[in-house]
Amino acid sequence: MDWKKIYPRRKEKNTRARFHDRTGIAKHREWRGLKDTWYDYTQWAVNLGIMAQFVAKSPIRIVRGMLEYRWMSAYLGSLHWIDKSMEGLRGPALRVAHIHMHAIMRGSTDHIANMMKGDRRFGPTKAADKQVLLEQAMSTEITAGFPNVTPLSMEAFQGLLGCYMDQNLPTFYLDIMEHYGLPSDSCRLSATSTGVAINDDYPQNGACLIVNNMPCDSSTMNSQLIERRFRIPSMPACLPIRWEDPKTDAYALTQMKAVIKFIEENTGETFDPEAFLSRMEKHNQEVRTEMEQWEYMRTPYTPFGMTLVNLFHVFFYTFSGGKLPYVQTAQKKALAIAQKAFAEKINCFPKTRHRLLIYGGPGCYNFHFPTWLYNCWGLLTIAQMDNMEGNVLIDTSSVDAALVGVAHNYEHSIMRRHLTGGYQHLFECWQDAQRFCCDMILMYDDITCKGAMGLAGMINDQCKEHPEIHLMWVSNDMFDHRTISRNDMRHQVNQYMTAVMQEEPLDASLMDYDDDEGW
Amino acid sequence: MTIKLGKIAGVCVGLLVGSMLVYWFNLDNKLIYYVVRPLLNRWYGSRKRDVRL
Repeated sequence: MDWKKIYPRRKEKNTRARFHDRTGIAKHREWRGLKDTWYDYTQWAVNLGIMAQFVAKSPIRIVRGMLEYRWMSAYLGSLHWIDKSMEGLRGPALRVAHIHMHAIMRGSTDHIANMMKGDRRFGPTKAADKQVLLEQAMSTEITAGFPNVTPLSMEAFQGLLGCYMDQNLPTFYLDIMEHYGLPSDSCRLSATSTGVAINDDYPQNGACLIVNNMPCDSSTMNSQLIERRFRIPSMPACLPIRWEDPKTDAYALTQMKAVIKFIEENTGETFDPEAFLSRMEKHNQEVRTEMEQWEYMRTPYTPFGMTLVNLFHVFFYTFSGGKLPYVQTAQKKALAIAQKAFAEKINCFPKTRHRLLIYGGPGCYNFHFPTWLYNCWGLLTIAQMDNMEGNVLIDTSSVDAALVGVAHNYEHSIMRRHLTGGYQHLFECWQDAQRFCCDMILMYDDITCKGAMGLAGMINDQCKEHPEIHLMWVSNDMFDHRTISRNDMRHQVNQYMTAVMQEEPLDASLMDYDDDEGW
Repeated sequence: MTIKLGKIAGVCVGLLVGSMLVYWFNLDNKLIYYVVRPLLNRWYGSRKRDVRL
């Protein structure tokens, strides 16, 4: 369908003309008015400073890592990625986004620097002996009783975050995995992790590895292949899936104690109850500030929206858990901006037509989809499914109670709560839409997530009971843009917005374009 | 002293203007996309990896 003929560009901005065709590289950066463009420039300079600090942490090992690991080169595109996350933002919304982004940049660069410092591939290093690898979706609170231990993510930087940076990175690893005869319809997340393992692209980090017990078919199948590349002891943290049943708490506590014993045996460190409880207090502060932020997200004056609110939450769930002091600082700064915007009744997202809640397994290669939804159709993403994960206030009255709290936090984790074996699954979307005053839900149909696919019919059935909420499905292939491209995803929204909602786009130049060669 | 200060101010202004040009014309990303990444990809492609299962 030729959208340009249906919606000839009249007074709309021709936003797409700012980009080179197919590659998506901007000819020049966005003009946001003098004040906001100057502000964006200064924040760009801050990001360059963060990257310079990163290289200075271990220059030789980081350069060697860049030449050794293909996935590391994807992070060279991080400034482009930041620009795309900020498209269309002005005023308080732009400021909140940059505050969140700086914390994410600091945490991510620190993490990669620690990976390189502890990589035995580049020679013996003592740093590795005090590192504990955690599989994705596990929160760092698990290691909170060991202040001298550095928790590292096993595969987030090679897979998920790498995919955010460059859509063509995971396809390289997926092809390797499939070349060895492994099924191509398995979850792209663990499939990419397997491709990284087969290509020997994991750093040789850590004293030990703790893996999760998510009941995901792909994860179960691939875990053996991944484990072979890590020549360190590993153990699964077998925490209950049916977490709302209090009878499971005793089992969760036993498992948490087994994990602590495992870390003690492999790092030579001793569990410190005081340090543990102190970290849990900080974890609770992060969660309470997040809850306060949700109150502002419910209002029409929210400066929190689009992609980064979700990412910031995932970031501090995965990498902080009370560990990184600058997360609290960023939360408080963002909250102060929200309070001011609310007091002055500033509409921070003036193009908004509908308030959107995004649920389901996302197309990670289209990280900036919410940015596009806002700029093209005026659909403001208020929250995403991952915002609801973690967020458990931990009882710090005793070590045992706090350990059960950590187990609950992990049981509420990314994917585990809603997709693979969670208690409430995707059905919480209706309550969450009401909580954030959303009139539309975008439900991702991740074609390789078997856990979520089985629920599609039930979600459609429940939709009839919520006539005040529009439900839009958008298919994706999680990490593989060759199956359902970014433009295919855009087409699905275009079809829905024109055929069902009978609306016209805000900017027709954004409706149909090819960015397959872009990062 | 005045000349030294003048030179420092000149360098600072030069850096500011230069960095603003890099920012506005997106020269950082253009360099990485069109030059650095293709070279790195060629390097990665030429390396032998241990791909045993």
